[in-house]
Amino acid sequence: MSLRLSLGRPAAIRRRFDLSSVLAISFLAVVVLASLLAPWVAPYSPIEQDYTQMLAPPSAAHLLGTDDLGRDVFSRLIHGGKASLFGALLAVLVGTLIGVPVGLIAGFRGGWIDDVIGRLLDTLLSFPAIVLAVAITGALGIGLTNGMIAVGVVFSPVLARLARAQAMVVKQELYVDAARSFGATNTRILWRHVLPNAVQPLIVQVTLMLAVALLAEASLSFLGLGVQPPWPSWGAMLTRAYHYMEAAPEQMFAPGLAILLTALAFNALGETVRVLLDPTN
Amino acid sequence: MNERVIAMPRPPEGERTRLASAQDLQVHFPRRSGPPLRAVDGVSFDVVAGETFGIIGESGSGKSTLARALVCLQPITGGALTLSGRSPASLSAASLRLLRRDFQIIFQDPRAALNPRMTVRALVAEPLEIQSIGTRDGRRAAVLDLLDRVGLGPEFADRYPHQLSGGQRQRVNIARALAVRPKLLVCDEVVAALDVSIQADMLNLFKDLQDELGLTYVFITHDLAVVAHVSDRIAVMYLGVFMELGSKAQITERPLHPYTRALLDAAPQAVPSYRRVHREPLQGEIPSPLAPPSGCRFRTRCPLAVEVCAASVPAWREVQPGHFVACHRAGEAMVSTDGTDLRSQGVRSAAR
Amino acid sequence: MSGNARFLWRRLSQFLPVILLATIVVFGLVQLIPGDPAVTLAGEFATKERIEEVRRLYGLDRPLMVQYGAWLWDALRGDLSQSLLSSKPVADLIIDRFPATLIVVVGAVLLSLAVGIPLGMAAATRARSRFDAAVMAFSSFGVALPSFWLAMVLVYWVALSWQLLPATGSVPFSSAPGDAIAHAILPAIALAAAGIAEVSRQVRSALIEVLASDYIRTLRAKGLRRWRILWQHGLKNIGVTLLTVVGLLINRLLGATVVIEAVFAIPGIGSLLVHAAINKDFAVVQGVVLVMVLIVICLNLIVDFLYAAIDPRVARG
Repeated sequence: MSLRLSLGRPAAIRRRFDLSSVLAISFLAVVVLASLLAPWVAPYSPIEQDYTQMLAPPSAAHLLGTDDLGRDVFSRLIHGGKASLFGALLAVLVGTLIGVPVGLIAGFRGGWIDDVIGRLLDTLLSFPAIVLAVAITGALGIGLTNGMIAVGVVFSPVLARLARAQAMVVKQELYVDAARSFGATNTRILWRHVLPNAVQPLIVQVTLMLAVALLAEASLSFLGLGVQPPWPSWGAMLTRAYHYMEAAPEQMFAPGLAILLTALAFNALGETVRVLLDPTN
Repeated sequence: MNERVIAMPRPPEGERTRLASAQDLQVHFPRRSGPPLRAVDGVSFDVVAGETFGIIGESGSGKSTLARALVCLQPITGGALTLSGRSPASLSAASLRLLRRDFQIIFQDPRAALNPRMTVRALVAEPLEIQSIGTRDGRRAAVLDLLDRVGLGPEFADRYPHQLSGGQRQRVNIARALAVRPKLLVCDEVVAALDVSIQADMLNLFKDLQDELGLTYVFITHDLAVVAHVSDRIAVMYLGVFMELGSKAQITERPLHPYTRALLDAAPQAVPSYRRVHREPLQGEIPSPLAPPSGCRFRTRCPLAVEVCAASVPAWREVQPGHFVACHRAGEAMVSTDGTDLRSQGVRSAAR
Repeated sequence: MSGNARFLWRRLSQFLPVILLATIVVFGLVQLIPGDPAVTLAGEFATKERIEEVRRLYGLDRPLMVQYGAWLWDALRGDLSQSLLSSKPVADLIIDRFPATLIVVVGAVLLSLAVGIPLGMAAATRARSRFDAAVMAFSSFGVALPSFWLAMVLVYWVALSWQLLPATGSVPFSSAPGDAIAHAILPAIALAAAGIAEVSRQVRSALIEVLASDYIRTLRAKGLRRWRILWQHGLKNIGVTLLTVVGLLINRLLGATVVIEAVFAIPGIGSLLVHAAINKDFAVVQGVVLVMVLIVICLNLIVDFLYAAIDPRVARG
């Protein structure tokens, strides 16, 4: 018996990669479009209650049935997607705006500034992400925006660490010396030379982070710290579905699958971006 | 270090403007353990307006560190550097930024010196933007003018560095350095990375630019042919210190230091006027600057080394006007391996 | 060994600042409350007297540095202040609820390793095979799967439809070990899905690298049995990877348990945290977060010490 270490067939791998990225991008396009056009696409209002139609099974009128207050689940799914995507984007945006500048400055300046920031990043990374996000949300005040700002704050050290490592490499480049010899300020060097040359791995990380942020949004909303009733998000829909699990178990599938597939698609997108930006490719 | 005697090499023509002046200039890099790395360990020279000051040295001699120190990219750790009569270390950030305009550098690796994400246009315009020279439109015209000056047509303006050849990249670097109208240009191995076929073109470009713009060069290279071709004066650097300094004629025709002779012997075609003496080529590698030899740093490879060479650092002395050497045996009994008395040359020229 | 000693010393000297910074972060949480914290903490219908009482209770009338110093000093003595809601000492609440969390998290870590390592090893030996692709696909799903949704699905089928295991709640291990474990199985599985995905993926890639090394090729040439090579040499060589994964895993699972405890109605410190955060019971929030981060920091320290023991190269590097 021997260890098999075949190196695979590149063509086959390429085909699979292409298929998964095409699927992921198409799926995300549909989700994003549906979210943006929610008021026009959704057949019903996401918050209008109909007490004659509580916990109805799927039908022609209600494709995914109705929830415990008689609201159309399909419409809530579409509107909930808007909240979930907005939340994920907001968290990643906050994380990027905090993490990238801090990391770049730490890596670029070095010295005691780097020591202090590095230790702070170690510390923040020691907090379990959701735990810190729950605590910060509690302090800032419950709600989707505060919750996702909290998630963004919790994510920022991951991006900061990556940006720091990148800046440490790029600042050694000769073109940085060249710019300095013309009298460029540190701000200009960071903005014009370090950032553009450090940005590729950051883009990959940010894309992958969308998936994690989406899951975090779902978790916070599920716990009641995110989107507040009556407005839906996928996580919040699962909370209600859970309460009525025995009466209407099918309610928990659509939002759960929506989260799973969107997170998968974000991850696939991240891998695609990684391959596209890979200089060795 | 007490035995080091500092004699200041004077510029050859007395009263011309001294653009840059180094006095016992040192650049030491501290290490986590052990003594510091002495990349540049006390060199003294002046660069006067209009001349080309050549510095020749093997890799590891500290010549690139010296180049970076001259344009304030590398802080000096000892001695003094004076640029346009001012000490860069004492200047405010704003004044230093202004001073940098006058002292530019061209690096050895033309590709690494260009930000790969900027077009040629943006690259050449950058120094103008940094120094707030001209209006936006004026800068656009200036970029094309600069490119033209280094022999690149306007079609290059929108290309990226990876779309250029090595020689074209170096021309972009030159255009960019010229953008701020520098007085002194430090050229650190500017042709070493280029094809031999275009090295001569590049050197001619440097010569033309000097004639047109009245530039002053510090030309740093390991290539004797290059330094002999372009320089008015030449300094010979070894392990962080100068071994010899003099006019081109003094260095190439009447060298006093055994290291200079060894360099000339190794490349006879580089300087046809040099009367080659048959001798063993230079043996071995340049020692580590972490642990330089005691006394004269060249003694481990010197065919003439005697006891005193290990015991004391040879003084930096002016053996004739403008001709400096640091060697215990220069002008003394210089006997080649085949027995020829070499003293005559050195003594005769010193007496003249 | 002097290299190791120096490494351990360096690591220890980084440990204290991180602990100190962590306490500052935890203390600083209260400063994030917009407006007058005393008003917020006292609640919507609080009287003026109640607000003042809260202000005194938490020392909010003192300078920030003094507040921090007092809070830290109390924390060092095990006094984490008292809950606004129940007026019980926070430390007691945490101690009461910690075992329920511990049994689930430990179960999930063990499950992640017990399933993830063999899965990763099997995938690595059949790299690029259909089986490998299946493991990788499973791993992608595991990472993207909302753990609380998996928990709901498990509750619905395993507990409610098939009645195999209890759906919710928790039983103290000391009173009924069997029942306690039965209650912990579903939460541990829900938590472990992401853990298995992570472990198998890391083990696979580390092992593929090791198997391609000359060292292993030599062993193969000597005719050693495949599984012997894998277990004895492969695993030993990916020890550092495994330790890193375990360190990360504990951090992740401690976080994820917060959501899982909500699904299974487990009275652990995760549900304590969520309840406190929603009700602005900040002494409890700070206490739970502090305990969790201290657990993670201490475990990371232990992991680093084990690194040095396994692989002296780490210590030198």
